[in-house]
Amino acid sequence: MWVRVREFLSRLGDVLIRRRLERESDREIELHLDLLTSQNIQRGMPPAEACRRARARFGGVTQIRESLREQTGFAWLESIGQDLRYAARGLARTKGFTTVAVLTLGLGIGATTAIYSVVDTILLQPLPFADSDRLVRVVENRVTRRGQTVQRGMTYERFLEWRPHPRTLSDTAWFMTLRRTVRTSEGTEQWWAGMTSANAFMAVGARAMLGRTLVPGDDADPHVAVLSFDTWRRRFHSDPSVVGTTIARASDRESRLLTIVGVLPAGFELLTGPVDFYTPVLADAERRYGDGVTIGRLRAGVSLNAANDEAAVIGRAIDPPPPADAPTLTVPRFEVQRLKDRVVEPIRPALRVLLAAVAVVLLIVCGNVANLLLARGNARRREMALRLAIGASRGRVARQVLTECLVLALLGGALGALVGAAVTRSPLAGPRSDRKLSIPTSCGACRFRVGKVTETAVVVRQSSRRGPEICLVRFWISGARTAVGGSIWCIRMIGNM
Amino acid sequence: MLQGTLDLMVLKTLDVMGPLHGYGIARRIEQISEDVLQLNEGTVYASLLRLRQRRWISASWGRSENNRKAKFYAITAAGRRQLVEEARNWERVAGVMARLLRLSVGR
Repeated sequence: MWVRVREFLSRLGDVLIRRRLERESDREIELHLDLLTSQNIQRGMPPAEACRRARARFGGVTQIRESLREQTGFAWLESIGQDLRYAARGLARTKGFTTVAVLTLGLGIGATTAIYSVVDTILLQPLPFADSDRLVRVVENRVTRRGQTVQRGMTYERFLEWRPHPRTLSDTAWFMTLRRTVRTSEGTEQWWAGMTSANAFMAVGARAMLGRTLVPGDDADPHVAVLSFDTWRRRFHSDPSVVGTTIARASDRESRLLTIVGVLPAGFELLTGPVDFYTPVLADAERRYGDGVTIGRLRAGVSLNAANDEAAVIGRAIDPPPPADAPTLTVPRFEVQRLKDRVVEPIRPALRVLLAAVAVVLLIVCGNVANLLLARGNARRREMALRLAIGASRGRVARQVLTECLVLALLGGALGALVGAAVTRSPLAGPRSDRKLSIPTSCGACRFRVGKVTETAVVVRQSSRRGPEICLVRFWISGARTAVGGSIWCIRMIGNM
Repeated sequence: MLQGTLDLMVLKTLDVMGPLHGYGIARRIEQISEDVLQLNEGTVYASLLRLRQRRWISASWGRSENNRKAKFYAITAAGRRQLVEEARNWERVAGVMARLLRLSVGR
């Protein structure tokens, strides 16, 4: 162990003085050969023969020098630097090829990264809530006068009626969004207000960025408000001392001061779209709210089916007996849906198409770049042959080729990351819908893509040293491999949906 | 030749003969081996470099027989310890090999 460390340190030291060391070992070798030669002459050989024998005895001078050089310092590291410089020069010389290849890679990787990021955000981390897999939404099925079954949220009154019953759910909460008039220094304004049961923030596991969120005790004194990040920034100029100040809510009958108790983190919203502030539902019987969103959390070990069975029972229990002439409901009154499914459902077909597009784009990119490299490799067969002829090992040539591909892939990848980031941040990615998506560019996606493309490129380039036939075969094999990999990835993603 | 054999030979030579240059080491090994081993003498230098990097030998400049500048190598304390260990190891392997070969001959 210590020997290895010592050796490593020695080699590290040797890097600094490697030119001197090389000169010294050259001198040693020269002396050795001279001494051998003069010994041979003493034994009576003619000088030419003596010199020849000496060299034979010593072994290949070039090979020895090479092996000494490799052993001094870290020759491979230097050769990587060499390869990188060479690759950069070579790529700079063939500007057309480089531009096309990098653009193809960049756009391809960028597009796939963007799409993957969208899918990743929606499918894999669909909701910015704690443990969001267990979050469910409870809806009420109603039957209209014309006999149609419609799905609605519950009213707050219904929620209060329903709330004590479920045993399979914890953290049941309710919220809805309303327009509210707020009195500001410039007059009155209409703000979006999120009316929530006071435990809603605890139910989804949200934390405040400043101050606190609403807590169950706020039911008793509902004149409090939590600001959304955007409101805090826009209307309060990101004032850190905003907690404790008030906003004036003007209602028809009276005007109320709401004490600001906290600010939510950027991007946070409950499921009803962007809201300016959240405040607890007033529990006075006079106020009537419309339909809101009821959520809950499946208790540990409870399946969605069990929750639904229970919901059906509760539905029957708290259902008022229907008038005789009213059409009957054919489905259970309450239904429990996984929140994630509920959010993803409407966009699922679009995502499927996008995923298929990702696979195709990836294939096209790989195919195109592979073709480009193939053409280039063919044009450079002489160069490779020459390198092999003057003594480069196949491994060494392969490493050089690999370095070139790596440089190309890195350039493409960098461009792709930029493109991907630009696309995911542009308005294209976040349609003005209820649920505004903030999509981080998925680094994993980008790495995945770069890796795949590099692999194809490398395989093709390496094989391009052989005949074009083998080359083509290898190209198709690697292409097929990429295709299979892509398909597996797609199937996995679709499986997740 | 077995891996590490040359290193062991070089170490032992330096231990017995004191500081030597590469040529001297090659001559000594040639003399001892009596042409049993066909050695590319250039490989001695690879071995010397390796041993120096492991700090088992040290190098200094001196004058050769024909009065030219030459690098002389000497064994270090760490090298001596290594030599003892390697030699013991070698003898053990050699002993096992010898027994093994005797067995198969005796059959």
